[in-house]
Amino acid sequence: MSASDKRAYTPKIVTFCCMHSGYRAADLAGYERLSYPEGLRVIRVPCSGKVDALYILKAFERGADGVLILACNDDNCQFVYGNQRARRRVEYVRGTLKEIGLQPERVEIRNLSALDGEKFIGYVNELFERVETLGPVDQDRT
Amino acid sequence: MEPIQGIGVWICDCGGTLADRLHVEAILRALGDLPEVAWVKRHTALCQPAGLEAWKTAVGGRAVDGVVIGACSPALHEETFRAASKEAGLNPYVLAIANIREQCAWVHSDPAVATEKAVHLIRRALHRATLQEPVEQREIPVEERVLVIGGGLAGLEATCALVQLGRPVTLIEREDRLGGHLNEISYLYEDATSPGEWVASREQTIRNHPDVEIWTQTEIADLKGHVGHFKATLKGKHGQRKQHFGAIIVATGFHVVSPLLEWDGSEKVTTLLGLQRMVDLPGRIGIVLDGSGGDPAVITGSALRTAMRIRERFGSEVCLLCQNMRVCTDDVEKLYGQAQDRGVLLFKYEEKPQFTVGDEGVECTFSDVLLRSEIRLNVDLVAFSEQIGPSLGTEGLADMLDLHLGPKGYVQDDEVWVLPVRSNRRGIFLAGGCREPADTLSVLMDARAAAEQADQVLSGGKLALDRNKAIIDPDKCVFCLTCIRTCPVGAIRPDYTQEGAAEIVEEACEACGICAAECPAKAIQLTGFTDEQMLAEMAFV
Repeated sequence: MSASDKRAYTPKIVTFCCMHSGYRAADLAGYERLSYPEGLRVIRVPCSGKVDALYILKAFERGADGVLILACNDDNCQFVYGNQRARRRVEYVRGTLKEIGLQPERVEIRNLSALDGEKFIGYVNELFERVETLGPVDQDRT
Repeated sequence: MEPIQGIGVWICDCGGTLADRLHVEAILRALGDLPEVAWVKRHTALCQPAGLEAWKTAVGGRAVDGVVIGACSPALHEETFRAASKEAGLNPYVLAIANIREQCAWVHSDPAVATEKAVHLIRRALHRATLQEPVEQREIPVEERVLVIGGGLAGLEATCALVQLGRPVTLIEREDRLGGHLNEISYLYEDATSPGEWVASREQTIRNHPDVEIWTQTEIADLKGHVGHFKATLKGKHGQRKQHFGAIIVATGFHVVSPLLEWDGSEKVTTLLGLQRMVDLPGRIGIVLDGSGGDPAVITGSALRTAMRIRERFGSEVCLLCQNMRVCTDDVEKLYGQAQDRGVLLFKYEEKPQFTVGDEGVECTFSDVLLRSEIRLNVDLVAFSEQIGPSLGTEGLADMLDLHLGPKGYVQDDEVWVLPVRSNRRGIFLAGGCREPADTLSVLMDARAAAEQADQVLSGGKLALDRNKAIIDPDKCVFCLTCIRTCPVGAIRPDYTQEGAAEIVEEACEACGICAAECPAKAIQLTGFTDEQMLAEMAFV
């Protein structure tokens, strides 16, 4: 990738947010007038356990450079173990990404509570920095 | 599904505050030409009564199939708008909210960027709304009667509360008499009445009540069914019987483990409960809080109250030895101060104290970490705190009722979403010590809360089922049982009719979507969050 390409690259990240924690944390970030990159797309799910492995892969196919799943803290999932299931699926998808030659670290799962507006921004920026270093997804691979 | 006539779009600028951060007119223009849009309207405060009136007028008479709202977060007003839709005669679930306030206006300083993103989010919502199947609205009849398991403090209080709410109750208790731990203690801290009087007064209320059945020496042997129509098998000295219940309150309490005493049999050594029962006390008493089991605050509170009471009543000198003082429950911190004011001596040890029991009394030696010196105390009597654990048989009960057990073996985690009295299953509520060790006052509050919630679930004798829910396509289902295994709320059951398929019990489904994500055959869809809708959400401009 040439230097000019790198400058033009604005990463896109899809974040699946549990409506009980991640989504509310994203709202809170708004209330606190914190800002995050415009390439972030927040998708509301009833539980992080709803995030199908397929959705994560489809997000890459649709042009995402990274996928972030925001789940409730351990032992605090409204649906008992939805967050643990999401974590296991992330592990699975990472394996699949590796097989097709994409960096597995493009997918991340983080736990937070509904009051963690700043943490939300932190996790989002963390993944943005990571995918910026990794560069855009080679669309031929998806 | 009928063809969509068009979606009505509302843009709310939140009292005009979004106008400086978003080009609202540009959004309206961008949406106006879309084929799926019937009309686009702007309002300044859609969530206010005037806004909702305008809403009803605009969508009334089924002029549109559904509504999309570009406004604040759906976490705030989704339910408000759904209710308004319903009143206007529209299916309340054909509604999608684009969060143009928290996710656009408030996080992007450049209005052009925020506007572009807002249009994108609204288009995404439009897509989702057009894919939404109307949720069928229906109601099912429910059983009136509530089953209360456990006749201790929590169970008795819950039964009384339910009776007051006019609900028939069946109370089962595995021992031969009601009261539970109340039969073992000699005073209730928060109440002037004695535990015996308290139990008697509660019993009097419910014993001869026409709507209350009390079965002692009876346990639950099997449970089938779901909220509104549980089918329980009760087994005990009166034989076995099957009964139907609308809801269940678990009030099985906790189990008190006596500390292992090396000096078992000695009159100079007792337990905290033993100390409370004593009617005559010597001059110097030592109370030892054994921190090894991680004393819950309820034990700390009990020890402090006992210490103060002994000082008041018998004028004894009381020394309280503890490793850590856990005060994280109502009023215990205050009690700690009061105990000091009333002359209870508090010591903090790190290493377990040594005790020498003689004829004259007990000598305790330990190193106090605050005084930084070796302490030797001579007392006439030493009492060790009990330890508290889950009630015996909790595991089996949880298994039978499909309840989730927490790490410490109680029927509820420290779970912020379901606290205080809900369980992972709809229609089953938890009260008192079965979910965590608790003091009298918290147990009573729990019991009343559980009773109220059980009553609420069954109110009107009907259960409304107009919510998003998971739906199984029996043609795709290969009956692998994955969903039954992974459903956190026990809402899926095998259906052996025809070729066999999993069946989702609508009234018990909490719409989390875990089954939909786990199903290897993709036979399950969650309304409102179907695969199609989720993929529509992921489209990038």
